[in-house]
Amino acid sequence: MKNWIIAMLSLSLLLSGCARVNKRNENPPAEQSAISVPVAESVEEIQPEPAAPDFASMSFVEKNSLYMQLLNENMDAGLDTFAAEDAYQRSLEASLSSDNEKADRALEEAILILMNQ
Amino acid sequence: MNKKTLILTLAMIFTLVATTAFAPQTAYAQSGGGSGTLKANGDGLAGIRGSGDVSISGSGILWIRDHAGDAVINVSGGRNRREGENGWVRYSGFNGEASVSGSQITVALSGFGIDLEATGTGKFVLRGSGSYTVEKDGITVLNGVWTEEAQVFSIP
Repeated sequence: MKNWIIAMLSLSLLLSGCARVNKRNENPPAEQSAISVPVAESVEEIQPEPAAPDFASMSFVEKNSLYMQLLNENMDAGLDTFAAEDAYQRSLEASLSSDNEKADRALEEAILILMNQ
Repeated sequence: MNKKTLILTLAMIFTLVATTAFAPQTAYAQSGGGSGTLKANGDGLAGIRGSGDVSISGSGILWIRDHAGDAVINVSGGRNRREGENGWVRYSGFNGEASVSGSQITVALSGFGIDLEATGTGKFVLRGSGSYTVEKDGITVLNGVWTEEAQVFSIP
């Protein structure tokens, strides 16, 4: 009888130990989130580049207006706008040949050049 | 020829005549020759190339190209004049009016409040929002609105 009690106690201790180990293994996200905190902080420290406009949702007049606004701003700031103006010239030439795809691509390129100056 | 065939033939002739008579005017304009007058106003891009006289006003960027070297150019209100590639001269910060005459010229204004009048022969592109008319011998032969996509039309 005594042996049975000892065997039962040993078994219950063994089972509760296994349960604790199992429970610890099921909770790694807590440890991961603790690790991920410094990573998130370091991402916030990086200066983001200006977000590219959603060209797909803009009309030609809107894109054209944005280009002229940026061109004036950059000219007033004394920046070199030749590359952007050359890109816009390609857009103009394509428009005059009714090559809309090329015209839009060059206009968007001109805008991005000015935005990233 | 039986009655059924006769009716079918007449119907086909009528359809052919009707589609020819009511065809869009652009088809006529794009295949025409001679000299006409284009008047256009709107926002976006207005460009014309050919032979004749062009008067244009508004604000934005003005582009002029003289292919033959015989153009007479008068520009008022151009802030920054720069010579680009392929013989282009551009005026950024343009806010005024310009007149250009020549045998092979291209004039374009990109911006707002564009008012264009051109007499001669050539082709034009209007992109954005606005309206235009083309007259020949005092009769309006073509009219329409500026479109989101660039389309090339001819001055008949």
